[in-house]
Amino acid sequence: MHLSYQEKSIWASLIITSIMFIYYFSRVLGVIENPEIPETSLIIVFIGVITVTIFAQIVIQSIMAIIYRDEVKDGGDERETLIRLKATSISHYVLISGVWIACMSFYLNPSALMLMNVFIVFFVVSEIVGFVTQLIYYQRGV
Amino acid sequence: MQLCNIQNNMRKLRFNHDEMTQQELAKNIGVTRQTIIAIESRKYSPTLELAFKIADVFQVPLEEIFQYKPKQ
Repeated sequence: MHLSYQEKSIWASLIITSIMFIYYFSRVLGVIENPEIPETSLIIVFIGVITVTIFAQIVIQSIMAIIYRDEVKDGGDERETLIRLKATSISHYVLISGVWIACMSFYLNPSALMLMNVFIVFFVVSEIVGFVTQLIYYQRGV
Repeated sequence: MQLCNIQNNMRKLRFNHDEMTQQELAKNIGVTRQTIIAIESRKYSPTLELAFKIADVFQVPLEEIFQYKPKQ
């Protein structure tokens, strides 16, 4: 299966996001299972995860841009813009659903930690849905 | 695979124009080679503007390149 530079770039973003947030949610589960760990420690973990994710994205995307510089020179075009817009539209619905579910969860269990993590879950899921949708459109056609 | 309703003769026209490569055509009309591959394999219908640019490169009318064939 031949992958274009754009597809490889999306795969890289998908893998980085998945790894970082699997780590984050494993720490969240640790806090839920062990009440002795202070909930505030998750904020530090979250800031760390965001920082490492941004740093990893910059490094890996820069390396890829150097390796595939001929394809990068081509720049984006109307098909790529259309794929990105369609994927953004779908991930937007996931994010909006998440906001509603987070609001309902806060009504049932008024905890700031719970609210924050439900938001983060749906933010990550919407990002992943966006990446996967783009990959599907690149392979299947748009 | 989802095929679009627009058929095209781009591969034949490229061959008839000194075996123009997909990369050359892409460069002429300002898109990526992947977009040319997607159009030729009917995975993407170009915008009217892009279709006119392709017709301009081959110096033929639009309908000689693209034909509308709805799915049965």
